Amino acid sequence: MEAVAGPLKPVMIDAATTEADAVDDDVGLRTIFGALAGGRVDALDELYDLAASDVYRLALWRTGSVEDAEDVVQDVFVKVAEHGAGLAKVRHPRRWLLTVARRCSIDCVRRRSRRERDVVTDVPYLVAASADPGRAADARTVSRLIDRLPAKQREVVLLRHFAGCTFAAIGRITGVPTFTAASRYRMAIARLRRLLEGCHGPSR
Amino acid sequence: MDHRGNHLPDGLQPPAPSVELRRPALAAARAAMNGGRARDRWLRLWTSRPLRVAWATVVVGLIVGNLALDRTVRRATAPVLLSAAGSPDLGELAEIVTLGRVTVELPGWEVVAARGASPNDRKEPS
Repeated sequence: MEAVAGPLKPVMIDAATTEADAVDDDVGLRTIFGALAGGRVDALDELYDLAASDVYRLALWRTGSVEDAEDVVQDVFVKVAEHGAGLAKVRHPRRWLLTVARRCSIDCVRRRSRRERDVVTDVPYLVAASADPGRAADARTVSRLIDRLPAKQREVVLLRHFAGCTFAAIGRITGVPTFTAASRYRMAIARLRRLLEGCHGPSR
Repeated sequence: MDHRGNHLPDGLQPPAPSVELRRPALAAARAAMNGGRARDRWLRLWTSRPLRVAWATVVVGLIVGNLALDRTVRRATAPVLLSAAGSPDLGELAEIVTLGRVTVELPGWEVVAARGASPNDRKEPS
């Protein structure tokens, strides 16, 4: 395994900020959905700016493949367009989009399992926020560790940490009870912690 | 308990989609949206309440009209046919409309009883 540039510093994500951002996104998305339901094609651009990253990230973490994640983004936008006037009835657009993205990802993985994946490449689940080469090495290492998590646990970590979803929302997106979503998250974090400790040796 | 695990390294984030993805994704969505408009009209036709009521009214009207017309036609045509059948000029029509009565020539009961006494008659099993 590649040497990590330095000790991985823990990060504390501000829950209040991410959830507030999610609510703001939902208001903006509802407006866009209304425009799309009214037949405004140009609203697709705004939707892409606001939602493509979330959709892509969830697809990447769920499928474990950059190519599949890009296919999923395309599928999701086609599904949104096909939904037409029905978009006006969507009450939680962000949750709806993530649910569609997840379903498309599962379909994509099923299709892919039929055609054998012959080349296994590193999946960039995380990238460095800055141009610091040390962080880039960290990102590669942690991405390899994240790859060892089951897809169901990976998606919960992403939705909780990086999409700012509550466990109740995660439960609705993934189709499991809230308790199961929380449990998956706890197991994923515990496993990641063990993997990280294994990476650096026991920190005693 | 704080489930918001603080074990992910700082300064890392999930990647954004590539810039090249934007154009094909939006093009596919636009194509789907334009293609979906024609279908939307049918969907609107199907889901519109007044139109559904109109559809139902038309269907019920057609059924009632069909039944009423059928009875009226039957009532109106029967006497005409009978009177036509009675006309000496329309012999062929009379043959068609008036079915020939089926008659069976059977011997009377007294003939059957008289035969019962003859030796040729079969005995009924006891």
